[in-house]
Amino acid sequence: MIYANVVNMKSEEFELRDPTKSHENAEQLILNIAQNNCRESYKLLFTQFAPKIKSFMIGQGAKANEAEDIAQDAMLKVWRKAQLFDPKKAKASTWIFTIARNLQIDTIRKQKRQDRFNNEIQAESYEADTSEKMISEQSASQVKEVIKQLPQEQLQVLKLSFYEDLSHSQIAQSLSIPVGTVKSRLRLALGRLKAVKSIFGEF
Amino acid sequence: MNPQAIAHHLDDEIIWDFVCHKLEFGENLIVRTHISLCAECAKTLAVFEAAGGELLNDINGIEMNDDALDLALARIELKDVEIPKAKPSKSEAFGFDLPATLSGIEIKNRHFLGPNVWIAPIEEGKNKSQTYLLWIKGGQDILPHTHTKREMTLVLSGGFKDGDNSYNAGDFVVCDDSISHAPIMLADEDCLCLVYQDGPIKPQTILGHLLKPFARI
Repeated sequence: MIYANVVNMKSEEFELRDPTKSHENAEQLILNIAQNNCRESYKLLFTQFAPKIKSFMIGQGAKANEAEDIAQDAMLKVWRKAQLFDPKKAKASTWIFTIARNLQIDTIRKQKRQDRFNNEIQAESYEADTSEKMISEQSASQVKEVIKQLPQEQLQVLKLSFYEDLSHSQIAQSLSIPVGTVKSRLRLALGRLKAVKSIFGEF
Repeated sequence: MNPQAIAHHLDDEIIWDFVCHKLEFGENLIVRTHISLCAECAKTLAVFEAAGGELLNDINGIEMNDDALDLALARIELKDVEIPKAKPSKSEAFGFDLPATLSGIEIKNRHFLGPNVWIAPIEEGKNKSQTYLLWIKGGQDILPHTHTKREMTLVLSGGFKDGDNSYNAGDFVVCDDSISHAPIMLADEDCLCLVYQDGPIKPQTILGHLLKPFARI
């Protein structure tokens, strides 16, 4: 079984932060907002996630002020759509990430004056992304575990492809390794993540 | 369409590029449409998005402006005045109803590519990349041809055989310039595909042009 190999491969340099240890549980904060319009919870959630969204957007090539705006808009959307959040279907970070990413697509598209291509497509995908195709809490913690156990070299490529707006050949250049190596490391990492799907079958 | 019958899926790398927001508009459209039709790839996407969520959680934040929290708290007091958008009407092309992911997409007038082969352009993107709907009459032979650097095809209706492989509604296929092939269309069903290619359309290769007089094209 692939997964057994994965857990045996320790990577010590990398540790995912557990939001439940250092912060209020993010899922609970969103539920508080949904149930009571809880402003205190929103403050905590904003403080926790807005700087991360900003940082992610800057990595994707946004200017600081654009990234700040996307972070603001994404968090506002979190407030307004909190009722749609279902902790059984998604972790808070995944839900917020898909909201931010879809906003980013909208924003970039508007900048490129490509909005003739119908913003409804994005609206629809937003609903789809936030309602159905999410994975269970159990699978989500497996995903976290797989990332934690990835060999450092695979994690590095996975992170660079995610955080930075870089092509495979740019990643290869920045690490001074052949493009083929970048592709094979990424493929291996994705294969390990995907194994979560086959272990649990149904989400 | 029977989702179980989908035999040709998206590569992991393509789904990851979708998560990381690295695809061109046409590629994005094809990936989004395939995922809406394919439970298997939708699950892979869910896993990869969960990975994205974990990586986002792990990122070192960059401090927001000093007044960011005040601004955020003020904004949530504003009424949500977003005007609900009308549900886009179902799109149709060549007599086929298109999947919901293509609703409202602007499809330009179709034009003739060859006997029994028509295309309806959707977008010309960076570096003359093309996104279009391709319609081929059932039973029409396709001349041997190669591809631009990267070409993605999603079968929306009908199907074709290519060597030992059969491609039917919902199936995804990606080709590059190393592949030369001559797909055989199903005899009894017209075929509609959504295609993205990263260069201008070359309907036939030099070989195709040479064969033209002999092939009734």
